[in-house]
Amino acid sequence: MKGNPIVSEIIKSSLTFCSEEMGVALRNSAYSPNIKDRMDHSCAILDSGGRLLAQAEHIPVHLGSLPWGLKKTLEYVEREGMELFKGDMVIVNNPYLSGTHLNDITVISPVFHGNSIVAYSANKAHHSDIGGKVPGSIPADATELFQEGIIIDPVKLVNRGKIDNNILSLLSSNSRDPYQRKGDLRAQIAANILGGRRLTSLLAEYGLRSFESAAESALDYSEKMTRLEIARFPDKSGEATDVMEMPGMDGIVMHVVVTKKNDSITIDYSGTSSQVRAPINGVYGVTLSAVYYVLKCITDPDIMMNDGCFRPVTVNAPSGTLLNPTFPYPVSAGNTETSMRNADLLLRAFYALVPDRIPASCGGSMNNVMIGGLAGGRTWSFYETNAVGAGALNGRDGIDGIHCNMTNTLNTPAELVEVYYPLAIAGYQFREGSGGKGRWRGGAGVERSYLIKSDDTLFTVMAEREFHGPLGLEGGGEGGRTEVLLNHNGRTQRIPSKCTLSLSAGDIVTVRTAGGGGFGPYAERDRASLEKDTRDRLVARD
Amino acid sequence: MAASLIGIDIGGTFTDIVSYDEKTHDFSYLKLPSSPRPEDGVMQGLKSMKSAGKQLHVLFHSTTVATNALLTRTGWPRVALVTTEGFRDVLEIGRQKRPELYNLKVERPSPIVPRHLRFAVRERTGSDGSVEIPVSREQIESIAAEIKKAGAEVICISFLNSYSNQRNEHEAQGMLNGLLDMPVMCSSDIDPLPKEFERTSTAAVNSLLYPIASAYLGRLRSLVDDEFGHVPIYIMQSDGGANTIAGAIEKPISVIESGPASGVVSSLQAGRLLGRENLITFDMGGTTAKAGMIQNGIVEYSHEFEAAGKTHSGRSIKGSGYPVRFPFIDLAETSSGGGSIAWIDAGGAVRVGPVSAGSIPGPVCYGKGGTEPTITDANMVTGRLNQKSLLSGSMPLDRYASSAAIRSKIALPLSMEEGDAAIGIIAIANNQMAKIMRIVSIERGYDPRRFDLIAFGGAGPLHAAELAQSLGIGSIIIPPSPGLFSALGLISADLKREYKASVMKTTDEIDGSEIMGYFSILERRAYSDAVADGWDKAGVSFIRTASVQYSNQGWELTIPVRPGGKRSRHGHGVDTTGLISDFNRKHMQVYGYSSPSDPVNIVSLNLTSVISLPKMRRVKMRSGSSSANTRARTEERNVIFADRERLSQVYSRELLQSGNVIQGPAVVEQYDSTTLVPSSWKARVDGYGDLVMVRRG
Repeated sequence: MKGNPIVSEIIKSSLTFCSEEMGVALRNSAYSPNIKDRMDHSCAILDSGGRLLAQAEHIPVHLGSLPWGLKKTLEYVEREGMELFKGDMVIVNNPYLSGTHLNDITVISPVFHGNSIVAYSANKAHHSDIGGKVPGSIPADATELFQEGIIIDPVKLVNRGKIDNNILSLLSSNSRDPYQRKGDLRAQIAANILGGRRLTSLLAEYGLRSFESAAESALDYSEKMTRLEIARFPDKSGEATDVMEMPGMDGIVMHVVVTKKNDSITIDYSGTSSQVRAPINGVYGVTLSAVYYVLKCITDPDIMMNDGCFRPVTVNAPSGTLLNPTFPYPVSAGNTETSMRNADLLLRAFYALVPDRIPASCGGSMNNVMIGGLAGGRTWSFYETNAVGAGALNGRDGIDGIHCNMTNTLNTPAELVEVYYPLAIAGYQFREGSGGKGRWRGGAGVERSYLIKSDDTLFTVMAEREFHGPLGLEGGGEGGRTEVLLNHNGRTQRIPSKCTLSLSAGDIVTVRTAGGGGFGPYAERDRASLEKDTRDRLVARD
Repeated sequence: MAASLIGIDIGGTFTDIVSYDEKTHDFSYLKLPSSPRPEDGVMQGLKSMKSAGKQLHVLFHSTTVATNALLTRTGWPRVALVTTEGFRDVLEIGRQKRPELYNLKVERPSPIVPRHLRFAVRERTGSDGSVEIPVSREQIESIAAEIKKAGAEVICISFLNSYSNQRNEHEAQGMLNGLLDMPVMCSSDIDPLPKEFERTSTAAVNSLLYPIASAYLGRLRSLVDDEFGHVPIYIMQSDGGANTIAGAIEKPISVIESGPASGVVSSLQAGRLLGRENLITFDMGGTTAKAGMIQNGIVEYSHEFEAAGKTHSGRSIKGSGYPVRFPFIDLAETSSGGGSIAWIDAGGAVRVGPVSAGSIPGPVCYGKGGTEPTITDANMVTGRLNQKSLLSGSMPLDRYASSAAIRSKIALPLSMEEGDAAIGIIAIANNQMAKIMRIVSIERGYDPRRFDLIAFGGAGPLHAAELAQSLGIGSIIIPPSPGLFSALGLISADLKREYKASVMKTTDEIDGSEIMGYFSILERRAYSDAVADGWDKAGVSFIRTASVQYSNQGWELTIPVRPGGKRSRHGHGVDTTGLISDFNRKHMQVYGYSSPSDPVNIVSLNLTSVISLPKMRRVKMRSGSSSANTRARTEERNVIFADRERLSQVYSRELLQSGNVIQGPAVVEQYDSTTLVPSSWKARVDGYGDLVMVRRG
């Protein structure tokens, strides 16, 4: 076919389809509910220079962190002199190379055309347990990376099409769910094979030159579209400060200044606290993911995600800080909690530039719950995250009980929890009195109660916003703060929102997640809404 | 007057009416603009058919009343939900997911039942079916008073774990029935399966639609009775089966996706006739294209769908609508149709759709005021469509207007040749449509090269060959009237009913005779329903399946249950070993692995009762020689293909005879569609008038 713009368009959309198809293949063949049902994974195609060409992600925290991690990993591969052959696959989870936390395992494959590498297919998936101190591998009290699970520096999992079973069993035997690890890794391998096959047939049909020129034009196109969107904002700066909470550590501050000039944006995190001996450090990749998430939200989310989108943005996160820590500081919750706070922070800073697009702060936590132990001679582990209240917008109340910003994974049906784990869900509903007051109220959080049915069960909760509530906007009130309650022997007490406990049968832990901030003065709330508030009881009380 | 089966399919813009005479095998059709009250459309259609000499014998109807009520959120009755204490908001929290990742202004669909109409009852049933806390009459009485005060019109009861034991729901139902005069429905009767949100949502949607369906179908019934006497009326279900009016009123969730199913039913019938068991169905109309899948003569179902939900590039978005668990024919859809507009975006890329020129103003060549080039205009410029008119001359076309639009809107801005721009628009659209075909085949574990493509809808046959080529499909069926093919599915359906029993036991905990015991109970219910409808027991056949998963998994596969194993007091038993190995095999096919050593859990046993209804039968047409009659060859013209322009023969489909063979490059024109036969393909007219295309070499 003649006419380059058309061929470029077809190759460009084929790259997107290809990454999506890899995602479906990974999901279909994965074993663990975490990938299969909650879709905690992401697939990508890179060019030979390690630039992102297309990505299909289902949760935003892989946005930006995956391409950053792949680039770093490919640099490592080259530096260490690892030669890549047809059919090879490299595996990595060291967050300081791969970009998120140890649970996320990345697999990269070279794609050959003739004798040279012309592209890479890659994917990343969250493994529900990769060893470490606690089931789920996100210990609340970690002081170094080694407590968070097995660390994998780039190594070949597949050699010229043959899976290295030594490595596979080394990894699986370090997990509390060895069988699931093997299944999920095989699914990751299958996804890359599919991606490679698709790219090979695309190259065969259109030739390398058309492929490369289409890739180049796709990058330029995304850059141009992103710049066009940015150019619409006023030339201005916005600034925001927020905090992270850690028992026994005060004043962990996050600070950002965002500056828009012409069609570029600078994001400067100077003033952010130093890294801490706690799992809330977010590696640089995670910091980028919040940046690209917010950018995507305030521009056009349909712009094809590739390296071109990154060009108009400069990020400065000083090394050795909470948002760009150094090995071996622990990072497991940086991925979930710090990234959530970073999104809050950026949205608040961008409010000065695009006030009509930005809501008040949401509940601001993924409210991770990890439970596990030994039952019937087998180790088991259960992991899920819990929804919060969304922030109110100018013109609309926040949504009650929904995942916001950096995550969007499904809950686990209470009826299945009861059948498949030594647990029961004793209650699951909106948390009354938790939506921030305002002309428009914030969304209510949720209240979920876990009834433990076997002794010696390890329970970990990792949440935020216990001491500093989600902020309102324009005079709107704070959302209700996170509370975690333990009922033991009929007595209920507050427990920290970041902790690991050993529980016995009959204990009930209730996680009450934070509500969203309100928008505008409560005094201006209209009568019909006030009546509904009285009826539904979801708005914060005085 | 000829006694006719009449099918009426009400769409957004047009109502399609097809009529078939069981004795003469004649069929006729007409298209009317849809009227605001659907029952008026039906009556108008029936009266027109009557005046054309077609006496209504059986009416088949696909309705959009249920789906429209959900989409527009208007006319909703007030539903009260009675649920377990502590779980009041399950219906609204859903799966806690937002339907769009990057939209800060995203909205959740407004709940079927708002919070103040959700009432919590202190009760509890365990997952093992034990009643831990029974329902208290006192509390139900006070809730009944509140429900009355709130002005509710229908009540839905959904308790936690009710799939394992219906007792608490039924007790509450009995009490409420005694206290209030309004319909009371139980989740465990409507959808007796685990997962509290999905069951509650299904039951709530059913409760909401009940008054709506009963009003519409009741009106329709009496209008038809008054005019034509008490003829049978069947309503098309989402699973491609037909339901009685009473059945559809009782379970309106069964008819939500009433419309799209009929194209696949038609394909299934066509495939049976031709002995083709593996088909990818492709339906392309004016605004959308849809792909579906038939494997080994069985339609691929999905057991849950998002009613009134949104889709994104062919896939349904979880959380965008109201989940309903009822088998439906899972089609992948994309917004590419003849009217889809080609445009250049701010970044300089050519895009096709999602905006469509629709039927008004329509493509530029229609001359009805359209100014934006569409896929139809690209087909015009490439010589693929008749250059003068459509609908056998009744609709004149302006090819120069198409050219001018493509030239000025696409070719000039990109410094391309006009023909290249037109072929490019088609290529981009084909690329999008190939994707939905990949979604229903490759992504579900099927190799498209093992399938035939059946293409219909006004625009389907024009794009079929190039699509087949890109998926490696070697054979295509173009049915005789592609534009009416979907509507014909209405008069090809069987009466179907679904019955389910929740099990939640591993295959170690249940044996073949116990499984058969579950089925016996379901069969008794099915027989008694059939007899109540006036059918003979002998006319009822059953399809038995099991929903199976590995223990610990949250997703299940549907596996056919075969007789075998030990005989028991229920007669023949069930081959559980076969069931397990079938499940492992299917798991391998769909998910790429199986775990034969893992315990296998039976979630539910499902029985579908099937009763054959009078249906359309196609008859053989007159056969001719292998070369087409010269009269059938109407002209030759240049057609632009991806590689170059070729002089192509043009045939009139109406004049072709069985046995005629057409070598590509060629175009076959007919009243309601146009078929493109590229140079590497040849088409043969089979005994029933289908155009069967095969790839050469």
